[in-house]
Amino acid sequence: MTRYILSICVILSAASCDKRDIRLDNPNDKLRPFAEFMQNNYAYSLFHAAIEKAGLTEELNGPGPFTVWAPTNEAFNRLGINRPEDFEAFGVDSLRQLVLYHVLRGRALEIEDIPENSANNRYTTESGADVWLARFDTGNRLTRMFRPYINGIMIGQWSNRVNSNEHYGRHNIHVANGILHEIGNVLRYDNVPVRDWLENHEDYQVLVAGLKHFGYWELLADDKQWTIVAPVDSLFEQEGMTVETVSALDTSVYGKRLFGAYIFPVRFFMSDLRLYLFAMRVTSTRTVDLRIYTPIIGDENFSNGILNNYSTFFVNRTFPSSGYGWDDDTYSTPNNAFDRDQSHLVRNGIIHRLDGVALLPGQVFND
Amino acid sequence: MRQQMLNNGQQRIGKGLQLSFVLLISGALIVSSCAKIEPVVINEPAYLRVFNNLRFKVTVDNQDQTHSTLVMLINPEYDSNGIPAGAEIIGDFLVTRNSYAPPYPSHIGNSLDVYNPEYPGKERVNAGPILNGFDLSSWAQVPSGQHRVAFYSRPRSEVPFFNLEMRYRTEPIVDTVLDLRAGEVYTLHVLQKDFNTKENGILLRQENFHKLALADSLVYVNFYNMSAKGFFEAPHTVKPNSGNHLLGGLNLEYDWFQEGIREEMNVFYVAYDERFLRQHYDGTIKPLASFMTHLKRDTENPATAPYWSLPLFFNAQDSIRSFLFQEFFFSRPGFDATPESFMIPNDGPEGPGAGGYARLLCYGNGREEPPAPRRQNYVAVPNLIVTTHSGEHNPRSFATVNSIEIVNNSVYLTTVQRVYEPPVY
Repeated sequence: MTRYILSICVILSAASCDKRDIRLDNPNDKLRPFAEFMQNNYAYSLFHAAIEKAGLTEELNGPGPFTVWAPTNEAFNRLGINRPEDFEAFGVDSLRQLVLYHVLRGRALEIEDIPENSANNRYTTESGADVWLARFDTGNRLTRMFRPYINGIMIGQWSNRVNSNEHYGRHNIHVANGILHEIGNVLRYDNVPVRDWLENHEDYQVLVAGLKHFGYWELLADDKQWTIVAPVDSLFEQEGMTVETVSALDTSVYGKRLFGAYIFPVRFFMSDLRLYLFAMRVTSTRTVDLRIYTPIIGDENFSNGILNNYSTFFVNRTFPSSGYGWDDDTYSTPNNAFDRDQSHLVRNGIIHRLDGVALLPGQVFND
Repeated sequence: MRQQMLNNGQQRIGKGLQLSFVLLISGALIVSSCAKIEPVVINEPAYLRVFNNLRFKVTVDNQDQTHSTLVMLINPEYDSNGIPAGAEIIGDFLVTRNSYAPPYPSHIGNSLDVYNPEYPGKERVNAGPILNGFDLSSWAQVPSGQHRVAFYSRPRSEVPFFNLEMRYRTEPIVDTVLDLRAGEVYTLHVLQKDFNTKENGILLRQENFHKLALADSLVYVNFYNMSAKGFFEAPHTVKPNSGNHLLGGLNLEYDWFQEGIREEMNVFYVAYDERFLRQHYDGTIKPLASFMTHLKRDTENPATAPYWSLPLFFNAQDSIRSFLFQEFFFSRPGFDATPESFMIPNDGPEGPGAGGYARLLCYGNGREEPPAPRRQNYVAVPNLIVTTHSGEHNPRSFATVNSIEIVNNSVYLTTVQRVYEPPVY
């Protein structure tokens, strides 16, 4: 019996020794490359059709590594593309740019490789334009949840469901020559400056007229990055502001903030606002939580900002760095003023559609 | 009878076969399964422990600037472009330190991620020895002599520093030469020196607790205020969140340290006995209390602050298990300490509290509430007295040597303990 125990001890002591990790040196050759994976997966049949039409099948089946952000069919449906034939309306070159904007070459980027709790992580895609990755961690150790974003679009989940508590969906899918993440919106990028984008869209002509009339138009030509929160013409017209009436306003009487309020001197996607939260102490016991707050260019006595709820845009008299006072001249839009599907990334900034007019001429007389 | 002998014979043969099988298998395992490990020997080592005290507030204006996660490179090698390509000693994923730095590296068994709240922390290094009775297992052995030490700010992700994009590896936030002497114990702090200019730097402190004649029947503590210049005076809006743990932390107004503390503060202590607090809510039994020291803000002086002693036991009847816990009071010189004034939140240079007063509770593991009177919303760290199963006593209380460091609006406790008898079951 003792001998048995002894020999078992010997076996155990031998088996418990330190061993090297098992390492698979050969990649699994049963995995398919990208374009084939797309072809075999009906959830991405429209993206596959786009790849075919753009003539990129061979390239995406070639050696990588690639990282691909794959829009689902629903994402294309939202753009009015429901069948593969609908891509006929696109030029091959523009389709090629569109597809390549979803492809990163030379790196298989897992979600965990995106720096934690940071935005504005720049990666250059195959189309030559940049995408911006962000990742936020929420919850404690037990309820920990990643929120990864690309260009303000949640990776692996529909972007209009960001407030749901479901885990985000398909990500880190390994294929033979890289890695794939699902996105619920097609990534779009217009290689034009902010000014051209606004002028080319008929919906924003009152805003354009106002920005020109109050002297902001030259400023936006700058290489700096901007964020424009842009109310459409119909909202201005409801308040009696048209291209004609705005152009006729006396700039010595009305403060520049009437239109300067819609400009932020920094580029941010709405999802990036998760990163910024600061409490303004407004009385000795009360604080107000804000997401972003910047002085209005040319009218620095006033500032614009977005409240903690991510959805209320407001303008008020610039908060003193020490001391109290919050309610002075505060004007805000209704809640839910931002539609996440209506953000447009352009060369020198982002335009977010704003569902509300923050200031009326009668509220902005110069001091 | 014959049949039985036959059976026995068969059994013996069977046993012999089984045994030789077992021996054969174990022999094969012994030959094939062991890996030889070469021990790393560092001759004449110095002992180093590194803390990252940086805590930044991310705003729209600075989101592309310095991250508070660091990598430490000792004796880095650079490629032809001046980009670090390797280093003799690498301390990667060095995140902002925890409010409690325990006396032994417990992080390594208690987490699944790579983020390291101190160096060596989770790194596999040669740990420090037992020096004059003090357990230095939270210190790493490093070769003594002059070393080039660089800290780079890196994004917080699980990608190792040398695999990051080039743009993260171009500019160190600290690049200096340190002289570490053999057999000495060092703590190295990365901290912000000036809150307004955002100047970052390091502070190398040569510890002396192992050289002092400290009694093992007293608890020792010293204090540092390593806050950045101008932090206290800065408006609340630009200050980062603190790393403090608030008991029942529902009301952030009661984070006494949230605005930082003044340049000069007085420190008092009170040691309560848990048993008497349970019985005498009216406070008829007075706690042990005393003035302790005068604390000045300093981010430059590498000298060790003097140690002050606290009792380990409440009275002579106790000798194994201590029921004491501590509370420290920081008040500005001349502060009129009435019970009413203690209830005013410390809300910065402008508010009614005017940074006059802050209190720190050291109880249990730093996460539990002491018995009545209730201390909700208190900034809490673990008890300075280590109480654990040792020898035949379960539990038994041990005195420790501690540093309480206040960096901007965060309070950090570092505990060093002596080696004690392992438990006997």
